[in-house]
Amino acid sequence: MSTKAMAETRGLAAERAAVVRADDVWRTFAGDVGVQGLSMLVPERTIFGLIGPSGSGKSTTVRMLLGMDAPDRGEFRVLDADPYRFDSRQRRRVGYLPQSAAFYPELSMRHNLHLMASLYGLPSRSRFLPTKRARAARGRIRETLEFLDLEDRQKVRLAKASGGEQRRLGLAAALVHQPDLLVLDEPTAGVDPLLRRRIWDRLQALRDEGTTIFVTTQYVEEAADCDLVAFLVDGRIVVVDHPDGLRRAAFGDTPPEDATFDDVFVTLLERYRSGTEGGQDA
Amino acid sequence: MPSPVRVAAFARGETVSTLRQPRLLLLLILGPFLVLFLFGIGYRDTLPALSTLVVGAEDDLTAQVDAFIRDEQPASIDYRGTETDPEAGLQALRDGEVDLVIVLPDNAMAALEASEQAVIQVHHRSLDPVTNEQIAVASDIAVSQINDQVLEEVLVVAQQRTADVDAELATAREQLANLRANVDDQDIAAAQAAAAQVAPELDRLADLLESGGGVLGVVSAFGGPEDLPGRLRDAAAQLEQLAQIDGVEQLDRATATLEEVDQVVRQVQGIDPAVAVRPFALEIQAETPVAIALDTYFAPGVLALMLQHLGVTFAALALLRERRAGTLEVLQVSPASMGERLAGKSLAFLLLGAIAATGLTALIVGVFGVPLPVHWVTFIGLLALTLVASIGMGFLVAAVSRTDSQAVQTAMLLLLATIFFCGMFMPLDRILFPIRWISYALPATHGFLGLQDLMLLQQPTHPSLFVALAVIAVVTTVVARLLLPRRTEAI
Repeated sequence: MSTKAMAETRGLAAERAAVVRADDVWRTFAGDVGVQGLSMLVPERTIFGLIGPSGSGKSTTVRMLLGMDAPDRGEFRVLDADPYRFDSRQRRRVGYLPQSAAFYPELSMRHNLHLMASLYGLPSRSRFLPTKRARAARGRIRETLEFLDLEDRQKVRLAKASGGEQRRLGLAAALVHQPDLLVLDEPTAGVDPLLRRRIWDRLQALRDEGTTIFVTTQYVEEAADCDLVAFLVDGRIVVVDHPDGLRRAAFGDTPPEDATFDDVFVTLLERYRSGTEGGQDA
Repeated sequence: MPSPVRVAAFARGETVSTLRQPRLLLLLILGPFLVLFLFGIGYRDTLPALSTLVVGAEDDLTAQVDAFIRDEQPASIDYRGTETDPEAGLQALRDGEVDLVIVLPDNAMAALEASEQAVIQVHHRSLDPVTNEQIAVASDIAVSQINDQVLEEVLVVAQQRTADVDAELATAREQLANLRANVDDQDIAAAQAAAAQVAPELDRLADLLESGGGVLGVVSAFGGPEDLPGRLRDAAAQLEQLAQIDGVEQLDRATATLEEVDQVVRQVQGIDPAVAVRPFALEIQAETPVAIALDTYFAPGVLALMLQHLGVTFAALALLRERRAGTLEVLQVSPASMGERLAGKSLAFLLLGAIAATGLTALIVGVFGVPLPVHWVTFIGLLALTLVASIGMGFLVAAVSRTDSQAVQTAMLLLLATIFFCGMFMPLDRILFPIRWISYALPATHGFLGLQDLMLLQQPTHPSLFVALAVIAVVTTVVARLLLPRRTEAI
């Protein structure tokens, strides 16, 4: 990451605790760029977007952030701990939506959500022993289904649910246990624009309630919905800024009125490729 | 410390997911039953008759064998008659026109006279080991029957010859009575004349016995005095001496010898030749609680086999399904440990196995008449351990498989190995070490042996079976537990 970008991120994070901190993290694979010298801070109660083309290192970053992989060198800290050595209590503080969440296709969407809730310790199916904790958990599942407009479709078998419904169920599974950090790997991939808008509305509502959201996306336009955006190219962070800052980084203080975020990123990418901007000092 | 909530969640997920597929459950229960049922009604207890041609010269032996087969009509033989040319007979075998060709020896009598066995050759072209076994057994029985028949005919001839002996015996007895009367009357001259007549008569009788076509052998076999002709000749010599001198003592000896001959002749004539050559009949009594038909025998094996296959495939596929992209990451990130996943799935498949085992047990007891287990607690414990060991094996299959196709292939290979090695089709005693260890490594082997004891023999089973199943369960689960976390690539 450029020194300037890092400084800006620090500025944005100055008032809030860092939920995720990466410091000169390297992870390379044979024939793959992986991640090279990644540094970033994700302040709490923030929607942090990681945007970049395919193969830029987004999934590698997410895997290390979740503790599924360890850096070759450098340090990754999540919720003040090494994610690679998370215990079950720390894992309960994280929610994750993979690119293609697959559960039990023969079970209903509600049943799948109950199952995921149980994996995080919510005794939601104890209807025959209705303890206070179980009632609360069942209430939480009901709220989550309502939150994602799935209450009318909860009895539908997952195999018969639409792609959008399955995606929302994945999101429900990631947040049913009310995690402090929600990691979403391309949550709107393959989702129609209307539903995409609804999902982003829900994410912003969650952010307002105090959840930190780390999201990767290929839809550059979605950068506008993030509080902070990191642009990842060839395993390196080119720039980190809030959306308006990215516009200024691309076009200066007077960007064209009709400039979209696609234009912003194309400009930044071309500048990086030609070696004229921050990619040089990453 | 495993979380009961998470273990229960995995158990519930697998159970409900499977119960939502009623056709799968039905297939689990009805599938093995239908296979066994169709096998039971389609299998013939009797072996198919083998079309048979006899090749032999135009002599007595061929005629006797031909008559014998036509008279006896053995069930295992579909008789096609005789043929004199051996090459033509063997060509008929090669052309598939007959299944068996029996080649009789050219000159059996010459071999017998040389104190050698005459060899009957049986030719076949069967590939099937079971049919080969049938041919060997049937041929052995047929040769024994031919030998018996020869013996029987010898005895009949001997009995016919004893009729001649009987006539000579009556003459000798009459002449001896005359001799005794003359001796009693002190008529020495008449007595000596009578003795001179009796002595050659006894010699003739000795000759008859010696040339009696096996009469002597039969006499010995039935406890008659040894060297009877020699004793008759001694008596004749003594009577010849009597003809020259006075000797009541010699007369008494000759009378006693004649009585012995008379007794033996009566005995030989009273024997049934068929009983003499086959003095013992066979009667097999099975001391099993119920008659064991083929389907009854296989039923416990099918139950054990079904449980093993269920445990292996369900456990392996359940873990591999979790390696699908998305699910694997969700589970890796969640607080659920591998131990909780394995425990939850084991509980689910134990429950599903119990449902399937209950259904299949009810069917084999109700339809095939397999007796209820003699001890229910042992029965349930045996099935549960068989299932747990099989589930452990399924986890191991998942741990060593990269894809679900590999797991299915491995499970099929295990099933095939189980069919051959679990003792259902071939008793374990006939499998040599160290190959027999394969049998002992399969949960179905121990399940099958235990179920045979508990159901078919109605007796307690050996505790070693439980120990073996527990060892398989522990070893496979521990190894799988160690290997599975390394399987982090999505399928």
